[in-house]
Amino acid sequence: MAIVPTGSPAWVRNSDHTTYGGNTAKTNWHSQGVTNAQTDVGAEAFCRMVEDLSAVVRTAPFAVLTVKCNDSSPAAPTILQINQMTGVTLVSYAGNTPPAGYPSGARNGDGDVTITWSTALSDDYGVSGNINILHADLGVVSGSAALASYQRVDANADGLYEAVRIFNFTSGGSARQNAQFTLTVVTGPG
Amino acid sequence: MEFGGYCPLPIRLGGSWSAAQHARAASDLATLTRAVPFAWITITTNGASTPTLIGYNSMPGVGALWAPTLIGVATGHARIAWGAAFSDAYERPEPIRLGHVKATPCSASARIATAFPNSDFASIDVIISNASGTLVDDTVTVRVT
Repeated sequence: MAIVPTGSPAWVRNSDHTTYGGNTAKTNWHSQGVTNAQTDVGAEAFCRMVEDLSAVVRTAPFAVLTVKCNDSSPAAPTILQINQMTGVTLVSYAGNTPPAGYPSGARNGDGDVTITWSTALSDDYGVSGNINILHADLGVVSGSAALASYQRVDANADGLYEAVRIFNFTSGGSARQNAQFTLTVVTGPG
Repeated sequence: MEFGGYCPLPIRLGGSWSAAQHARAASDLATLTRAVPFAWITITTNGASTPTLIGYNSMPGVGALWAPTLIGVATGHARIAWGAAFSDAYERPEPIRLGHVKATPCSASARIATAFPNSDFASIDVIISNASGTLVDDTVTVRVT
């Protein structure tokens, strides 16, 4: 029978050092420390590893993706590349035909798109974790001055945010056509 | 030799956790700790009143319990202040030095959001304005590294 890891996938953000086997009272057997640094890992190093791992799991982005809006011939946005906790795409895809496990993209208007994930995804061990977006960060990809902002969307009204709506503007505040942006998404407990 | 009553710590590398696998895990973890943000915070400014916390993720913990002090400075201007040091779960205190901040507006309207660390390197100021540069209260997400 396959092992089931403790805790939830990283994007649920509820792991601490104990999830990984850490314990503030953990010691080496009979207080015998590392006898050979080339072959042994002591309790001190193990505890540092699990503590650091729980720290980075709390703030590491869930996904970073670069998106191109298609407004000249109105169509779903193109997801040019995405790095996500569950995988990385190497080729672009149309937002209305996402590969399994990756977000869809829908056009709302000029420079205005919604990126939507599944309500839950599974890690490499098949453990499922809900998607609940808490924060997003936007980088405008443009050769001229431009603005971008976002809003979280609870597409299925279940109290968790699995989508982000992005608004692209010119420096004057008008909708920016065919905008390109990089979106970073951070999830939280849900 | 590995974990458990018959195979106590220190872990003897080999078998199902090889030295090469441990080396990869150690290297990857060290890589992540160097560049992963210290915190993500989303707030709504309320003029000179205390901003509203929308969400908080940080290396020490996630949720309002772990959130820094929020201070309203003026319309569209807030200050976020952390303690000078944090302790991890093993009570190892370390000072923080906020080196990088990046603000993103969270709004359906055209907004400009900026942030900068203060001279104590433990607090930051966040400014949000409309496209004309007039300060306005709205929601903003800040990434802190």
